[in-house]
Amino acid sequence: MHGTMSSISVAGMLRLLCSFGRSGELLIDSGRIKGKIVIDSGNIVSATAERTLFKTSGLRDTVVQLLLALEEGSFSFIELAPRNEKPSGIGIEDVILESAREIWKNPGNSVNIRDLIFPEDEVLRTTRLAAGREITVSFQADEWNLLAAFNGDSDIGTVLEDSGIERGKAEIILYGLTSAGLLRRLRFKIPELSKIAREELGNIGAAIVDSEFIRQKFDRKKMGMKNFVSLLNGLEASISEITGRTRAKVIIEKMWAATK
Amino acid sequence: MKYDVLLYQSGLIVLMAAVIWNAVVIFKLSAVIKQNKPIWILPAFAAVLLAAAFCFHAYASYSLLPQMTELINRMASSDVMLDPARLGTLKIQMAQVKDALIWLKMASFTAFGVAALMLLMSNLIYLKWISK
Amino acid sequence: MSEEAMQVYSHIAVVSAGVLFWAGFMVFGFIAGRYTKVFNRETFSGLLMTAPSGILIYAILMLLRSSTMVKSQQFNDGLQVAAYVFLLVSAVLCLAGMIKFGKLLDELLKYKG
Repeated sequence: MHGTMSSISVAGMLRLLCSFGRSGELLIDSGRIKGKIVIDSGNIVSATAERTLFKTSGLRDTVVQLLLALEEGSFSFIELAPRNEKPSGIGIEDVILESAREIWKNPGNSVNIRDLIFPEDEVLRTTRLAAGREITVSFQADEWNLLAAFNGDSDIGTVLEDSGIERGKAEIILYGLTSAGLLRRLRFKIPELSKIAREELGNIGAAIVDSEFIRQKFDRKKMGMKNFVSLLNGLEASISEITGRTRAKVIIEKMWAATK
Repeated sequence: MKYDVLLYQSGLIVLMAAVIWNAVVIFKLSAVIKQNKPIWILPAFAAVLLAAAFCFHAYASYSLLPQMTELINRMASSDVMLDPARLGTLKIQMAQVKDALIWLKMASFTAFGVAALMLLMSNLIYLKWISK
Repeated sequence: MSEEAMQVYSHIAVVSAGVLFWAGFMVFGFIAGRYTKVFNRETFSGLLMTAPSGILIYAILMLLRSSTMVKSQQFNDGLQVAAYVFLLVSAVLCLAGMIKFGKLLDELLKYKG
């Protein structure tokens, strides 16, 4: 298995390999960071680093440093037979969050993580754990509060803005939470309603959308799922008044389709 | 009473303007809902019919009625009263003008009625479009 | 067609026209009312729905004038003037309503957001 860091983060790939219980070596090379992480039946068992940004001490720290390989580069996974080695006890989620903290603590070495997080109009919610699964993660206050704020209602942009956390830090925390698999994407995003309405009804369509926003007193930049559903109901009624129910339904269906 | 004729004719012209405006608005509204059927033609034609009603009324008021007044005045003169031949001719002329007046009135009100029907039809069709 | 039949036809035509115009503008007022509801903007929809009543009154007065109930010529003339005044006022109000709605529609069609 081979991949580039522009398509998926090393942290994300490592978590996937662990969650599928794979065994083998994940080889990482981003130029400034080079090394390998060995996993056995989904558990981290060892890690070695040829090059890292900072001096490493111990297995956990080595893994954290290797996960900082976010720049252009590549990684590959060599699948090996399970060896039933003793697990190191390092929680993959925990180590990913720690690597995100490292990015925040060392801004001089940080790279643009915007490419690794979801677009702002996506909606996330906390991941449900499969029955019998246990994870051990240490949270800092900002991390926990941000995790709790993703309730499947508001989009990423709104949650980050309302979190009160400095934007750059909030994005890095979000990167950590999503890479660790603690947040999952809903098949929902807030679409550009005015654009769709304008395509369907011309300028009058955009005017209908704006009137509905004013009527329902919603801030379109801070709109949650509940608000969105209420808005679509209002829009259906309004568009029905202007074009009839049949056409209104078609337009509202297009708006719904754009949320997926 | 000339002013009542002017009142009526002004009413017709303003009504015609309102109907023309209706045609323009229906044209734009049809474009909004992407309906290609040109129902705006109905009020446009209604405006033409109102113009026709106006012309009928104007012709009756400014041509036939003065003609009728003239005939009545001539009939009242003693020369005509004593001349049965001229009286008969005048009576025939008066009957012709009266017939023309009644026909014009009928045509004018028919145009008025058909115009109203067209306006109603176009607005009803549009309402039906936006109600289904 | 006899003269009497033509007169009766004319009366029916004018009353029908009054009712139909009234109904036509009423329906349009109803359409305009929907725009008022959606955009929360004044469209004179109420005016468009009430103004055509004048045309209806015009038709009724014209019918009354032509009826044999009224014998006085002076009263007949008065009825005719009143009917024409109602027609004119009603038409002016209908036009005002139409213009108002037309302006709102133009504004909405040029809406850039």
